Amino acid sequence: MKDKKLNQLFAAARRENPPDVPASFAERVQHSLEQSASDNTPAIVSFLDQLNRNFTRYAVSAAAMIMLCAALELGQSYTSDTSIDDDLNQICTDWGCTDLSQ
Amino acid sequence: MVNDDAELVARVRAGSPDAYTELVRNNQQQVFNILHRYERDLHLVEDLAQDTFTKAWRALASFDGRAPFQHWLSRIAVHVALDHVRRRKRFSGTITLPDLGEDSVSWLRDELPPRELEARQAREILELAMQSLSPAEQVVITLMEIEGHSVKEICSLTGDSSVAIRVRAMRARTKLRKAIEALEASEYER
Repeated sequence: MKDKKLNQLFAAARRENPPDVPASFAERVQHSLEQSASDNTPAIVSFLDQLNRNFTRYAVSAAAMIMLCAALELGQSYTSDTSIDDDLNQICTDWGCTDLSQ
Repeated sequence: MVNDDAELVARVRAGSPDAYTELVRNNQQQVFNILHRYERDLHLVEDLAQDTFTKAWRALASFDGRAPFQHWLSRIAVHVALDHVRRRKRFSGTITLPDLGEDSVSWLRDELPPRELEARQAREILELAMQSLSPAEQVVITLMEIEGHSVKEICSLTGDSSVAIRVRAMRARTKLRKAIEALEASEYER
């Protein structure tokens, strides 16, 4: 029963007349294409604009660099034989304070 | 017309922008015929048609001339229509039942003596019922049942397989039947 109603709806919708194309539509398309072509010419971009545009890229690169340095530092501290006392003594010598380990 | 279009495409490629205006003039009615099935507002149909011709212009380098230009353009128009239906669905929010016209209500109720349903009323009811369909289902059922395309033609227009088209059409009909039942029930409650 519902199929019959559905088919009636489709048949009636099929009879709908398409709208007439507005006059000078083709010219408007052409004008819009010319407009978009002129919009695509490269404009002068300021340093701040460039920074703003690439901010995510810079932030990710900086974070990756920090993580790489931290990983290198960690790896080096695991592989070297020096203890924390040696490190402390080195810092004290460098900064001219008394040796804390003594 | 096909030969004319091929010649005009060649002229556009040779650097004559006026030839594209002629190409638009030759095919604008066909593009409007496709797009008005998915949008009632004439201004929006015009915007969609402009979008179609802009996309065609940008993709003209990929037109290999194996199929007629009209067919190639129809494919672009169908994809523009599909994108439009997707956007409309995304922003439509909750589905509401707006007031249908008195004649549409009478037709749904089966209360009046049998008469021919007008195209505008059918469109009104179908538009409401199609809210329950996915955008791809809407496009397939419109191409098949309203525009009268075969499965093979729809495959060519949408780029989908014949199995996908048949499944979508079957699902769409089932959903539309249910939607009309729901509309009838809601109209009885008025």
